Amino acid sequence: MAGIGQSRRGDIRDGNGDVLLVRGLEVTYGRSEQKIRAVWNTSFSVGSGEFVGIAGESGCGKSTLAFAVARLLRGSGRITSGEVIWFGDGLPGVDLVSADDQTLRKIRWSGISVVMQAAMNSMNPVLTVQSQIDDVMRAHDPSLSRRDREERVRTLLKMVRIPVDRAGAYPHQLSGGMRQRAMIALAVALSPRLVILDEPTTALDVVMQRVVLDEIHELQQTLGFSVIFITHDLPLLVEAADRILVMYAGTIVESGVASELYERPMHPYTCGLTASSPRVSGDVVELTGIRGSPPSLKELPPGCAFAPRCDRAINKCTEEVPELAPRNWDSGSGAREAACHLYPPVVGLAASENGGGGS
Amino acid sequence: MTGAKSAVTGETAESAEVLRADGLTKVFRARSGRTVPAVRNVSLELNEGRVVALVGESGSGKSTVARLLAGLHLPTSGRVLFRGEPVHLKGGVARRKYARRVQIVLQDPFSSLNSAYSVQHHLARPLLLHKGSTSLHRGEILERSAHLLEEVNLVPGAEYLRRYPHELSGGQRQRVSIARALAAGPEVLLADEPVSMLDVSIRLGILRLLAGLTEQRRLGLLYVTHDIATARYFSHEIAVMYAGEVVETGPAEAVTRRPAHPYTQLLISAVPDPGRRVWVPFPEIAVEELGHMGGEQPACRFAPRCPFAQSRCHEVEAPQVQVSDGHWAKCWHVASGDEVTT
Repeated sequence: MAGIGQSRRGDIRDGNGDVLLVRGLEVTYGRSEQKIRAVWNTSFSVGSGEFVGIAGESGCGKSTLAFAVARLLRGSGRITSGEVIWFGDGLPGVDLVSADDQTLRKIRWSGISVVMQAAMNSMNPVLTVQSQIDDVMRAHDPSLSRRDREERVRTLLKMVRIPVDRAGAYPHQLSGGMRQRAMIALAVALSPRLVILDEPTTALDVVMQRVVLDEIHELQQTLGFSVIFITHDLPLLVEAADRILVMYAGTIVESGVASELYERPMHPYTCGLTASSPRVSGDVVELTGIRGSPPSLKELPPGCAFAPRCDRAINKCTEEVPELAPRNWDSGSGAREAACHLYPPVVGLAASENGGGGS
Repeated sequence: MTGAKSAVTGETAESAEVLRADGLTKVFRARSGRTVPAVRNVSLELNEGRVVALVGESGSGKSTVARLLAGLHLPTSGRVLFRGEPVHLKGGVARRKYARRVQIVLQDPFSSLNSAYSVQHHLARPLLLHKGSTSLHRGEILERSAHLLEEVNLVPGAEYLRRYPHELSGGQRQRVSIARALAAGPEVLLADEPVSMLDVSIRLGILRLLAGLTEQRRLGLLYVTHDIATARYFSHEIAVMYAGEVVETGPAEAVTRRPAHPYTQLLISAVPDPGRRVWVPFPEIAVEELGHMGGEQPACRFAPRCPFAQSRCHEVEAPQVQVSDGHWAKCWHVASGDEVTT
């Protein structure tokens, strides 16, 4: 678990504590023989007011992780092990995995809200923007009067820079960017402590993506919520996030402070991602990319799932699954969390006998 | 190796023109009678072995330009010239002949392949159609199809021929779409957002493939994209479109490093850049979205979002100004000289 998370875990009740703690989460789809582990052995924490980015490519389990955390898994998806501990306002932790519907309903929207990947299409087409926001507020906070709610809708739309006269518009009358911003307004309507955004900007072009991100940043400053931002776009996270978790084939393979992770990536997968994205500034640099394509979750290779695509793989990589643990970076500039045999784990942890690999 | 970039160095500007858009305008008419000028007076040229990137946000008309060049739309005014000859697309024979030379690769490899047919079928059809003979026997078709697949790095080709689209990953499907386009033996490839649906680690491979094919087959490649960063890496020239017009054009490096038009500057500042330490919020004015294309419009469509807009930007059509060698911008602000730096 995150070094950052660990230091915070002591005082969970005040503003500096975590709002969310995920431990050993495993999510599977399907029944016994055809079972697919979409997320496995995944642990992380989200601090209060922290912007955590989760980067990964399609099929790496990042959306499943978001659904699992919010307990919104559908179909055959089930949490098969682990805990998701939610620290509401000053309350002791609640394990969302075992929470009943009533508890979940209390937490949804006012504790955790989720903006889905297909948010552009997830609004009700026959209700105006105003009435959809109103709906959520009425259902989850009955104490608000009609006048309060109207006032709040206006404030919210202003926050996401949608002209107030568009409040009565239907979703199809808004552009993609505006719809996405309306979804964000909806997500923060009840001042949640955590907003989970699953690829909120993927369908937008760069300019609108920037505008939406600006808005999320601004809202976060004013309202002080935490963010889990899921995307395939690592450069975007480097700029926007405090901390980044990189996912590959269903689990976290590296975690670290955004700028450090980008400048000195440890895991070869992270290295590959950073070397795949061309930049507009600076000199034209060589892009190496990553060979091959991600494995099927149905049949993960033995050992490290990235080993077949990894140029630096050693024997151990195909034999033993590396644990996400604080590991020493060669230059001795402190340990970071990675799941890679190339780096020796920090001494004092369970798997301390392995010193090979490194150098 | 940065694909097209390596090609730039070894080459002089003396490659022959293949396809040229000359003052293309396309006005769509909505059922309500409202007219939408999607493309206005766009001129550009594609040369052998060179990549031109057409960059713009959604709704800027960049895909319409690709479709006009492919002959899928007929221009309202202006013309398309193939090797100097105006293109006339009257009748099936002329269309087919043109399609043989100019092929388009679409954005979505999940819908552009027919899931009911194998890869073999997708390649055999254009081979039969465009080789102009049914005398190609089965073995020959198989051999050529397999060869095409290997050209797009699906090796061994014969193995992939038997597969169905659902058995392929997104990147592999896009490779099949490219192989299908190549089957016609084109001289021009129009790639409309070829990588925007693909994962980051896959994109690079497809773009390198396109750059390599451009070089080896001496294709004229139009790379339509909203991503100016990949345009910088994989094209020789960049044309930036806004609201149906080309507002800036020039060598890729000049346009991205020294953008002259305020819109290009906005576009570049919007690209995520890990080198930028501090989060710089956008100017408030830029948040305004691309409005409806119909109705009364200012002379410069970008004026309502532009921090440098003056009254004449709204009233008088901006001139084309040369910024540096081969680098042009259509802007009053640039014309007044404030922005031109070297």
